[in-house]
Amino acid sequence: MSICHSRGSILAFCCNWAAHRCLMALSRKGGSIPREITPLSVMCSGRIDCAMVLGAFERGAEGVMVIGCRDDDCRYGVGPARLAPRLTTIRGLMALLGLEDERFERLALDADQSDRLQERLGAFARRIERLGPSPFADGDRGASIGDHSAEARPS
Amino acid sequence: MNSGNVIRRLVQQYRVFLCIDCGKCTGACPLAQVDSAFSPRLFARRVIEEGIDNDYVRSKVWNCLTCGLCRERCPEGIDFAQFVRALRRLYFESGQSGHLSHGGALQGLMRMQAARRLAQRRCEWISPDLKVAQGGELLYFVGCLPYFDLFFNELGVNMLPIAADTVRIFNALGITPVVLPDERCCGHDLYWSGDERNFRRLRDLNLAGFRQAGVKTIVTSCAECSYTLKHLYADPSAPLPFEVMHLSEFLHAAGVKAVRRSPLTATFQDPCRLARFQGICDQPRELLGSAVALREMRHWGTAGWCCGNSSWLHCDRYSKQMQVERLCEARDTGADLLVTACPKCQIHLRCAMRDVNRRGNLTMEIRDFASIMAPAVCGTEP
Repeated sequence: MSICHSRGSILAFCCNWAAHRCLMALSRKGGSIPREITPLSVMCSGRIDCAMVLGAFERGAEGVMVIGCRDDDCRYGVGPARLAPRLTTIRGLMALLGLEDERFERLALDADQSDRLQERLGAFARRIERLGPSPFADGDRGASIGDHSAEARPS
Repeated sequence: MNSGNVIRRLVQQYRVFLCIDCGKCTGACPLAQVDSAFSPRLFARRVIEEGIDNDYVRSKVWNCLTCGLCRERCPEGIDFAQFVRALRRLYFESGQSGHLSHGGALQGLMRMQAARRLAQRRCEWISPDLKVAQGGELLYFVGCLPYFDLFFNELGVNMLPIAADTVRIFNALGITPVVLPDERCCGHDLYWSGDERNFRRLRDLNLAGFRQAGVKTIVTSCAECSYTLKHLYADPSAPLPFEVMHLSEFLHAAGVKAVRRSPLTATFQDPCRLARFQGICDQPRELLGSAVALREMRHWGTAGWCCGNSSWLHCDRYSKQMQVERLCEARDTGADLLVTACPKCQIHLRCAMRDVNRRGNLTMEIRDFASIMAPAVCGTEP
């Protein structure tokens, strides 16, 4: 099933409630999402912070989505409210680095909006394709911790 | 990874074998004051005896503040901080790291700046009243201020006024400094946390930018940037084609004095990279002393205490305790202002002021050196 096996350069953080339900509904219907999108489950969109989004870009993601519940529909009550100020910081840091704002999207869904999810994922994938590779996606990026296999050790 | 030869070579290179077990390092260490399990003396001994594949060394190597106070006290002058850094590099290059504060976002931002093609928008703080140039002899190295300003917004830190005030001082002296739109992080924190590969990338990108702009002097408002550019960018085979100075060093050498004195009193937090790593203690004091009345904390100058953290590693309850004690020392002076010359000292101490258990008993007005000197040099209202 394409949802589980997709591997690509877009990371979509999906909350375990509305976003997850929509993904599951989509897979039951036999629907698919673009191959370049990798969904990654998190308990709540309120878990997402700057380090996670920037870390995805640093490791070569060309686009990042944060998909979760609507503000008044959060299972834990505070998730979207916690996320909101971080979105401002994330977008600001992306702008400082010269990363296009369109490479990042926050999507709030109802649990029964699998069609809307499919449509938005498709639109995001097309947008990222149009934008082309990010400055960190061509191998000319800072390597992360543990990513030093090719480096010569000090002798 | 524990090749005995590599460790032996490092022990020799940093002359750790000269240790006479006197324990002055541990007695002076700001971290050992609050964390009895941390001991530079014991650490050195265990590396010599057992190498680095043991839990004590593996965990404590990331806790060291690298503040350099132990080297001040060591009768043999062993550079423990640099030894720790060299060991961190070994660990890092085998895929191990300490706990990265803020989820590693700050190290990530630094590594991302090491990408070759980058269209940063880091100059938007430059307001129309500030005169800067694209080319010239004197460059103002802004460092990570725009990034910190945004990232630590919730702490109420305003980092960009430091940059604006620095340019204001230059303009008042009739200097139009170069500010590079494609400047990168100096790489200090990556170097000190073992990521030497990305430190070198940042260094090479910055050096290329400096060369292209044709600068003769680089002035920084950050203690870490000035230390890094001055001492870590230099290559023994090719000396730097420019001079690096911290703002306090530059103003002091230029004989600048305040033209307007404020009635406030201030105390100065010596950043480790300024006082101990560059020996700059008197210059900021003379300048501040001309602008405000200066009072000293119990630990000052090269004996000054750490702001509690460095390189965004291991911010924990010990960091907090050190910060609380430092803030108490500052408040005990009775001064109106706590002045620092390193944006990170300010970030760390401001964060500690928010301690809810102390109910505001730690709060104190905190400013950067540049922000005290700007109105004093320009003769404007502070």
